[in-house]
Amino acid sequence: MSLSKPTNLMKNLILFIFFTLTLSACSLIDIDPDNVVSSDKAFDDVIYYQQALNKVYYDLTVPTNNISATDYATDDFSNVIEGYAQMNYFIYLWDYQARPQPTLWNQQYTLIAATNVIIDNYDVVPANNDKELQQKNEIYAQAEALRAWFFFNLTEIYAPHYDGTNGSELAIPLKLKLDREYLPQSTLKEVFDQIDNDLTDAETKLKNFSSSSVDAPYIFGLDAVRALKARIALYKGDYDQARDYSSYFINTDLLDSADYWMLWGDQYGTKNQEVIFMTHNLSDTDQGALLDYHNQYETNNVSLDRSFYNAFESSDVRKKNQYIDPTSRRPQKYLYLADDNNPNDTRMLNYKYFRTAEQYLIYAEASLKSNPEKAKDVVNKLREARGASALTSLQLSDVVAERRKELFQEGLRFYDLKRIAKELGIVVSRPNGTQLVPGDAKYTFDIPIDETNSNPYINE
Amino acid sequence: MFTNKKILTSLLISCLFLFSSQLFAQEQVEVKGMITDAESGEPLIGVNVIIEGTTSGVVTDYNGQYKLGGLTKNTTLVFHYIGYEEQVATVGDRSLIDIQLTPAVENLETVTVFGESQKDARSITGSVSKVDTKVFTTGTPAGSFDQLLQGQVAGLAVQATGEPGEASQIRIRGNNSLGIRSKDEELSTFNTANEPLYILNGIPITSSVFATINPDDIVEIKVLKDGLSTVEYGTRGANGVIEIKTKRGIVGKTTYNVRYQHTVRPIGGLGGISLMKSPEKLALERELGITNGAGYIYSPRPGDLKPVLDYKAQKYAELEGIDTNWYKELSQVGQVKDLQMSISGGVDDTRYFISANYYDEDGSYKNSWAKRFATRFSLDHNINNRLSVGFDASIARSQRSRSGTSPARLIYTLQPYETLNDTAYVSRKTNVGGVNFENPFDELYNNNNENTTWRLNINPKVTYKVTDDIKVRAEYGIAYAEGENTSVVLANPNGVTERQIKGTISKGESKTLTNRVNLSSDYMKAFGDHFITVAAGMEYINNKNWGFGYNSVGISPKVDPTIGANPQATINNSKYNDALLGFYGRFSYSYKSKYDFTGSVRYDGSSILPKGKQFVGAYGAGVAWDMKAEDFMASNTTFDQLKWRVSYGLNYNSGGIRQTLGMPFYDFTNSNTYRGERIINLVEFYNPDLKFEKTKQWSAAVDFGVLDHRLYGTVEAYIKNTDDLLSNISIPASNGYTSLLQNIGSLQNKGIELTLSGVPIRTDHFRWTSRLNLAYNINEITDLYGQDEIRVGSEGYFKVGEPINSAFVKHWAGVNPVNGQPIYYTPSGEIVQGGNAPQMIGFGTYDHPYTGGLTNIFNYKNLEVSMLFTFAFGGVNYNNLKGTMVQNVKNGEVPFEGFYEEIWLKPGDVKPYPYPKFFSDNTANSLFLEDASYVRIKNVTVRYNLQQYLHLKHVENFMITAQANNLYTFTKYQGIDPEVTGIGQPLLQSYTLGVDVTF
Repeated sequence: MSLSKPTNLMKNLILFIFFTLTLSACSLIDIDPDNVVSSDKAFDDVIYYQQALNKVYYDLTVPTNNISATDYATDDFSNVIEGYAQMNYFIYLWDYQARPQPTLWNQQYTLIAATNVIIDNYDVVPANNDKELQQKNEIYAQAEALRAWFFFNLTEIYAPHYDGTNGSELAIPLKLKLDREYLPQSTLKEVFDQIDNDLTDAETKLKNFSSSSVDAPYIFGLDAVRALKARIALYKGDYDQARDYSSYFINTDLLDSADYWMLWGDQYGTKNQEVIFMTHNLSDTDQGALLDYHNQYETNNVSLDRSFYNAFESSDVRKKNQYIDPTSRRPQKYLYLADDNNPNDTRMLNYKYFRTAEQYLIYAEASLKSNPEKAKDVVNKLREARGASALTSLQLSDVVAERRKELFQEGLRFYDLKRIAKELGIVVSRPNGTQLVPGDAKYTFDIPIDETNSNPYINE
Repeated sequence: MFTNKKILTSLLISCLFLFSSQLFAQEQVEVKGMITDAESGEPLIGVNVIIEGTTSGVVTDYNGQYKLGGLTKNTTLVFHYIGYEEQVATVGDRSLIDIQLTPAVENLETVTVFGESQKDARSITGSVSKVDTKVFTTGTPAGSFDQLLQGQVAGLAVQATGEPGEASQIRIRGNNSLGIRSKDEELSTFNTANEPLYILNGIPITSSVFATINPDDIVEIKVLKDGLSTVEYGTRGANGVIEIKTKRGIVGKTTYNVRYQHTVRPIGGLGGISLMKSPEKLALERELGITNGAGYIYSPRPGDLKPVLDYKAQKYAELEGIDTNWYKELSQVGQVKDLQMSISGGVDDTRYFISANYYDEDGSYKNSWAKRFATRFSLDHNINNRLSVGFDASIARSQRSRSGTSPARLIYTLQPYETLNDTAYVSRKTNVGGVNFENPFDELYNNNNENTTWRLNINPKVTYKVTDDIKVRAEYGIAYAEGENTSVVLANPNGVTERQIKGTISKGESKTLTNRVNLSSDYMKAFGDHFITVAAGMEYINNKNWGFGYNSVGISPKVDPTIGANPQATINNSKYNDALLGFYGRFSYSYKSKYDFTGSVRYDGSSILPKGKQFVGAYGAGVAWDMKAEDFMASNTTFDQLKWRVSYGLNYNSGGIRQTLGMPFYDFTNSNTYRGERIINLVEFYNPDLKFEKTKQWSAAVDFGVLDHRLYGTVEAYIKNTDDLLSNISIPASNGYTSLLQNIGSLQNKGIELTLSGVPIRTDHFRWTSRLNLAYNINEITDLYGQDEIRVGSEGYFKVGEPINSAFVKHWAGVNPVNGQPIYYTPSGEIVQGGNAPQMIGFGTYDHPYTGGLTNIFNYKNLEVSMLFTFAFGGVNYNNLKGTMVQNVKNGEVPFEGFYEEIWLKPGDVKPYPYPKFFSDNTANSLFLEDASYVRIKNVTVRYNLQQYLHLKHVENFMITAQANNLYTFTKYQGIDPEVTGIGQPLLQSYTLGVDVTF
């Protein structure tokens, strides 16, 4: 078979196509995705840095992210049944191995991961002027402070109580960056040092922080950092620091008992100055949140302990049926019943994580030994505002009792019991006979299998 | 009886008459036969069969078969095919003349027809198995062509589903990667890492478009199994490759073909399970005190007055007399209509092929169906003796609907003593999930999933012979697929949640555009006895994907529910691009076609890997020795062929890796806001260390031909080691995320495959063709990177030294005769109560080590009978139907017949099943693991050519076809079907009648 002579044109054309394609080929596979954005591009302006922080605040609105599930382990709740939120029932029985296990670990670490996004990308964000630099630093500071708070929560739940002397005991993994890591538990001292450093840095970066009074309670700003520092200092037994930091708040006016409803039922009102940090109520747009809330209290059939309920004076505004159902004794701070101030029943799921009243009580407890009169005055100021009678003398047990009345359903009782049950001799009992005695191992939740199954450094 | 006999006798007589009448027709002889390659036994398409001394003749069809009429005994036929030695044969008394053509050219791959090589060079040293055209042209009803692959190729395991139009699960030489199978659902892989790569005319496709491919358009399917032949697919080839090639025209007289087939699928049953009948069910309810069961309600109770007792007894007896077969009530006779038309032809330098197909399958109940419309056009032309162009285009649509509920899921919740007219359905009030329906049909039709897929393919190509030795080829392909998935849950006034009460709809639309450019060149040259081939090329594939979907609650009964108009719909959008760039080269050397060496390399770059780490290299090498060509074998008459092959290849598998898994990416498209401001978050957690799975395979084979071209066979053994196995496993929750795709270990697969094909009997009028394939494959996890075991989810378990896909269940120890509670073994053999029983392995795997198929075809003159058996041995299946019905007896659901006798009722009873009220643990349990080995009579086909009696003008063939599918299954498995996982649709028997006319 003889072939016709190939035309040069054809030959050259084919060779041309072949070589151009080969040469230009390498760039063909450098495809930047259109639908998602790499870190460098994502954080090329401080605006987007803020939007990543918004993610943390957004996640904090989810009822199941609320550390108040720990209330189930305390003497506040009774009559708890399995319901749809079995996890709470198992916490109530201090059975931390039953499935589903408490999800607090996963939730706090999910929040930490969201803060680490901000902390990791600090160097990526450009700052073109002093104003932008300040913004950037303040965003970073909020992330740092929030993470410190989450570490503190995890330590209170999953580690032994830290009294300053047992710093070598194992606590929790210190997750300081976003990347996947297999971390061992750090010691209590390491965790609290990290918390201190982060908060100190945050405080410095936030020292010129200001925001409008409308925005302030939704931002973990300078006030929130101080409030958190006061809280942590109290739990560590560092009364000086607790007093110093809570003193920033004891001159803030409290609502009187006629206006107390505003604290829970008037998110946007200007008269209410009692909230240091809260989250926005998203329950209007997200049905899931309502269901979760419903599950958490109603299907578990929660009742406040009867003697605790009876300890409220009848004039105490905190006992009103707006906050505790008089027949079932169900706590319902976040459920607003229709009344003159609010025509419709509604759920006000704007969680108030830090309140002025707590700072009053921190101040009182911290200065109980050094300045008992001042302590008594502060407590009485709170009691008066709530419609309770003034105390004539003040013991530690009075402060703790007041904390219980003021802060029930807000996730702090478990931390209180953990640090003070021994001193006050508090024993929590369940109908099946099990008890939570001071210093009990049950004060430390088991690290969940979601961690232990795959972490070679942590075994349960 | 008498009449039946009479009909049968007359049928037989008329059949005999038909056969014998042909024997007397002397002067006009008709001859048919099959032309095959003498070396491989493969049928040759387009061979010229010419009457000597004339120019008239025919060409062989896609099955390598021809038929030529109007001959005399003295006619001599000439068989001519490019690249092969010409042969002649005189008709004589024969009606069947099969010819084995011997290659005339030492190196067949140099012979090109329309720019395509006559021989696949890869098959010299590698393992490339071919599936015959015949499998696809017989017209076996198949909503998806892959269903026809079962039992065809050794080492190709196909697990079919009974759902119309749904793709099967296909594995080549076992599972290379990890996947978790749960007892309830089909294999739920954590990544797509086990699927082979599917290539349709060069373009990669996914199994989601299988249903759009017309089986009749397929001319051959090649299965690339070893490490060498898959090298040219580089990072995608580690799980084997399935290449689908569609028909091109055959040069010769234009042939028109029209085929219509009608299939009827009778109502089936629950396989190995027969349900309890009314008297037993009522007695069981009475015994167990099932308060919502009629057997309990109409039981005498202390204090009942006489009239009450009488009424109860009467009612009880009445119900005992009712026996409703709910499966029958809820099902319908399925039907398949399949119409196929094609035109093929060509002259000299042009050939073309046109086809259209319409397929319509009605499943066993109303909302289970599949439809397909497909059309294809291909054209090849030699512009001159250097330049050839080819063009192929197809457009197709498939639609299918799958019900969320099947009769098999419903039937044990309906009482045999209830009837269609009943509206109470008392016992169903405790149905799991607490959702009730007005009647069972409402439940059956409550939710379904509809899928519509459009596929468009256009593939032009140009081949240019630069010199006698150098060829350059350019191929371009564009594939566009558009899929729409609509899930509808109708409003149910008896529902519990708002979604159930109002009804929901979700729709997802996806569009995929694939562009592929392939440039290649090869150089082939013989230097005396040395023959060298060098091929090199590059391939670029770019995929663009778009997705759009919405979810909404609330369906108006006034409009078609699939419209789903709802103002509060939530919308999602997606867009995703990726690209692959590959450079490849192949070098082969052959000495006298006796000693062959092939080395192959491919360098692939992928956009889904981080920059700087994008390129990965795959390579392989193989040698072949044609022992038969040695001088010392020349006188050997036992072997027609004896060839040894050894190959090694290293391939990769990218399954499961996405660009966003390699490094942090942020999502700016979510609809969430916080206090009016946008929030951004991490798309997913990332693993910068991700690597492609790496498979190294050794393969050794011997090909032989014996008994004078009657029997061909291949025995092949392989060892595959896969490293860097990808699996989505748990990571410490302190990361803020709990699972991540990681490279976790290594796996070894090894096996032996046997393929035999031959013609045991070939006479002048009769031919018996037989094909057997058998594969044995086992696997073992060889490394888990420092760990001994990994648990994934509730039923996933990987352990070093154990096979993957092992059943991970509680070890059933029977029933405690004292209290009727279920008891289990611990690994150390102690007996424990249900709650504390650990799950363990050691009960076999869900994969069958042995799989295979046997095909027999008998041809006698114009009659053809073929039979296909498929089989699989050694694996287990979880009998989920049995498990579910037994565990729900306490709620009033219906178990299998004879169950009453097998339960513990009082202390001292030694029975296989516990007291039903104590049987609540629904973790996977060894009690319901059963041997799923089976032999299935998959297909029996009878074809007969009527043309010689009809003598229709212009008609060449007038075939009538009768087929039976899934005729019978031999198995010990007592569930729905040994092949079907979960509570799915069984593979039902079906009967097909068809007419196939060629003119």
